[in-house]
Amino acid sequence: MDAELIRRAQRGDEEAFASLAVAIGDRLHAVSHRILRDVDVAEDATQQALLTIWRDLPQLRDPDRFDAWSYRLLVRACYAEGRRTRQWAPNLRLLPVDEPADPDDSSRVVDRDQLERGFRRLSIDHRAVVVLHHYLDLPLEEVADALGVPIGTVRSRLHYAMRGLRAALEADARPARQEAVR
Amino acid sequence: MSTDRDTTRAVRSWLEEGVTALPDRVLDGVLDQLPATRQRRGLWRGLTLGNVSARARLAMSAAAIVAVVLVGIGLVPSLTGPIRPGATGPSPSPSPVPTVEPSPTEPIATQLPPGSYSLEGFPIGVSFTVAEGWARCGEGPLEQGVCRLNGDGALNFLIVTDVVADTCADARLDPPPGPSVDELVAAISALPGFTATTPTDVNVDGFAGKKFTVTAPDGPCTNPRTWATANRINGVGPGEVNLIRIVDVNGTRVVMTGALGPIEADSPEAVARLEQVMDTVTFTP
Repeated sequence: MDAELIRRAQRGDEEAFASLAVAIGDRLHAVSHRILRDVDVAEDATQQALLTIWRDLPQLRDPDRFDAWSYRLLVRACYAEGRRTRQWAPNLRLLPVDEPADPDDSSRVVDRDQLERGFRRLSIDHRAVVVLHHYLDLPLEEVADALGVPIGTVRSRLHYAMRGLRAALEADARPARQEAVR
Repeated sequence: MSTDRDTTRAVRSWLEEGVTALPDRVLDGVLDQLPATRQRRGLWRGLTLGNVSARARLAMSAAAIVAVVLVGIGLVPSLTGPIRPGATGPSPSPSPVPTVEPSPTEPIATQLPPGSYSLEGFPIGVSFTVAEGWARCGEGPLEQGVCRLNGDGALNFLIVTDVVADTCADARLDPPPGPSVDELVAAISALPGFTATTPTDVNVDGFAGKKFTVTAPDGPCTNPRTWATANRINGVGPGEVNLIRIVDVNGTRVVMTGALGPIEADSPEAVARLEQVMDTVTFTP
């Protein structure tokens, strides 16, 4: 991220912040959507996070830490929006409209469905670790930095989350596949 | 799907799908609000703890402690809404609690400072105490409560009048369960597909009731319906666990539900956190 742009925005330059927001908006929104699994709620969380970034930017000491800092604010906004809506959002079961011709397509659809269900059972804490590590490709040290928790906690959350997702895939695979191709 | 590597590959591939672009209207909404959103200036500029005297550092620490205490005893302005801070116990000279409207830019606007709270607008006066990490949440006047900020639990207080006839449809039981605690316990315990523990006696602030635990099924529907207030039918997540206490408060049946996701329900700490708050509940009929 352009350090000079960040410094200008820190001094209250709205144009600089607009450029910054354009540069980071898509990435933040992609992350919030993957954590919250709901487009409308994710839009609210991203908007909230961007406004908080603007408001608190003067308190950021090191512009080099902007990315990690902005992810932390985004995850907090996801907590807040997740809470404002529902504890556990309804799970919508995704089934193919037409019977897939290719059995591989069928199993991919089913895997996505099971992953969606398994992921929605995770807390926001666990989801955030999975998304930051497996979607943004952040090393675990940077995930810990972004979330403000010890790296041991990140490892534990990731292990727990991946175990849950694997269990969802394994436990539901057979009956769900039968249902999907029926 | 047999190895950790397969799972990782599937998760990564699945995460690649979905929304990636922030709609212009959302970005415009942010930029429109900038002029009205004052930036917070950091105290760190030109001042570090390394160049202040030990006495000054002590004074700063003392100020921080005073601020925490003020928050704790409710002298600092609090959030508006159905929950009112510092309302446990009688006050010899009650005075209005100062309130502020939450700023639209507040990052965690619903977060609650640790302390005692009471529900406002609920048919029965309910007070309870929370530690760090809670936020207010609710679905309306007849179902209010607090949720964990990180999503690992929620405690709700409800006036339940009915349960569903079919957990996969928005249809209430007709006729509804009778007015006693035992009748509602029996109706909730009999929700199709749910498992329930044997109810045991509980005493909350001198009022008798029952406590038990119900666990939602993992199918056939993905959002099983459960109990209903006069306004709304409640739904839960697959495998969601609810620690329930139902108490008769001078003829009004108050239901307390401590909700946990299926993973959190395996955590003794998460369960204890909910029960800890439930144990602090007092009623003002």
